[in-house]
Amino acid sequence: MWQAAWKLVGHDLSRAWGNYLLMLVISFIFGVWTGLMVLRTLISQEFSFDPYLIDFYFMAIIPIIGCPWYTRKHTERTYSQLKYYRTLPISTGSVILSRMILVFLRAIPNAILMFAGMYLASPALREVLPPSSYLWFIAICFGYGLGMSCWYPYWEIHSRSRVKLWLYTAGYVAAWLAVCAIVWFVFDAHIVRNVIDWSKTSGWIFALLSALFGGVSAWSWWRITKKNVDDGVLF
Amino acid sequence: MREEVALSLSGVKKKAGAFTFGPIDLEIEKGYCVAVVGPNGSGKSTLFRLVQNLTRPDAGSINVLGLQQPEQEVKIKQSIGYMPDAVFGFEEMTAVQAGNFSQQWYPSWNEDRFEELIRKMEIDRYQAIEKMSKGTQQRVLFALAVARDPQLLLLDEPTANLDPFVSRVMMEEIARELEDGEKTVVIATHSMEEVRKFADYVLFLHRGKLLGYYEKDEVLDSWKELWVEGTVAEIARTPGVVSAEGKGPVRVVTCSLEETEQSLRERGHTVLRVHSLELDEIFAELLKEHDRGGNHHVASSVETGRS
Repeated sequence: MWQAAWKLVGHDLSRAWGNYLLMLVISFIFGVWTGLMVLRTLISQEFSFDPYLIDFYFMAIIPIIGCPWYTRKHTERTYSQLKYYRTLPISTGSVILSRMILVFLRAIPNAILMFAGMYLASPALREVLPPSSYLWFIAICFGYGLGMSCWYPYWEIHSRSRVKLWLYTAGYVAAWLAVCAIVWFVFDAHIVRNVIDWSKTSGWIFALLSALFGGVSAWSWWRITKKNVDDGVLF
Repeated sequence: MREEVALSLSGVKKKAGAFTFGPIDLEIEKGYCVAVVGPNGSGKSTLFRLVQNLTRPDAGSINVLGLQQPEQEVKIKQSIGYMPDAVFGFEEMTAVQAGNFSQQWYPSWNEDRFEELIRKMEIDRYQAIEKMSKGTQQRVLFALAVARDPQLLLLDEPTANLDPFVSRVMMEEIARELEDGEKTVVIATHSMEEVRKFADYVLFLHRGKLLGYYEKDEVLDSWKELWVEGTVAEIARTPGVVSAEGKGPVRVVTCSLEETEQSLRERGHTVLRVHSLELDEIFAELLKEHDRGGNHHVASSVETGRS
């Protein structure tokens, strides 16, 4: 299964390597911009609105850190590519595994570049978090982001129907808003501030929990997506 | 499962929205060209998808070349050359790139045969498939399917966008595939001309239901149009009669010429003329009968059509 999945990964990267590199550059620029603009205001606490803004912002970006968007053109639908793979002698498990690997291959370098850019561009952040704590900060965010991104292959296989596409996308946005609202109004806390605090005190525990969440999510989405493809959702 | 069976469907049923495919029982023997005929939406493409496990049946079992779906899906697909009705998922590649990508998944890939087909079908090796005309795209799909050296070729309307000359070349290549008697070709088509010329068996589908599975020559020999003296009421219940209409000489369509003629003679009716029916006319009669709900002889033809 792994061998076939890696072959597909190689094929996908070779057909859209320009896009892959572009995404990496965007991630770096994004990290730098975040460091320069947003975190600075959070840490300086000039405006009371900022903690909400930064939470909202992080919760929007981190969950898509591993979403591949590997298309040659912006109009291309990877749905039909998956459909093509299904006509070849490749198991469903391999096809979906290849998409999961692509999520990892996007998430890891993206996270490295984005968080490195953020740290380099934000003296305030460097003051608050020493490098060792910042690594925990990255790990906590990464596990969560990876776990959420593993939803991407499921979204992709349903992208044929415009209604489904928007429905699932809307569901994702609703979940993101719901998480923010629960943390703010039920727990009376702020996400990014809390993650910074956790990173300073007991980062490894939360990093472990986050990694666990990422692992369970990857396995669960692999199974759910595979079942959907087995049931013929692509055709 | 008998070794000579290429494809077997047993009680296969699939519901998709308002459309229901089956339940269908079917056995296709190795070494023949089977034409799947039916109007758009009759279930031809669904049949191909089910055979490849691209979609799963709600009920029933599918066996391909002695292997069970879905348990042995990958092995089955390695033995199938599927030509879909359109290109999807690799439009940006050239024919050669598509061949290179395909060959890593098929142990029996025949590069010489691929090259030969590229040449014969006048395919531009270096043009992106998305920039080719629909007809040329179909030629590429055909070359990709045949070069896998498959035991079972599934061709979904292969000549739909082709000019008659290229169609001819393609059909000759299909006939060549059948020469060794080991390979089986299942071809979905609207062209009765192709069916008449190349198919050994004809499978009629309509709204997901199997109207009949016949040996082509046998069906052409046994399905006839007769003009008979008498009344519709006297003739309609004669064995083999599918339809009877008109006044004066009655126009009778039979699916069993010998049986009908004999019965009519015994009862004193004179058969004035006997005409052959074309396959599309036979299909039209089957449709009419299906719509009337009288498909009793269809089931028996599925069972005995291979004799």
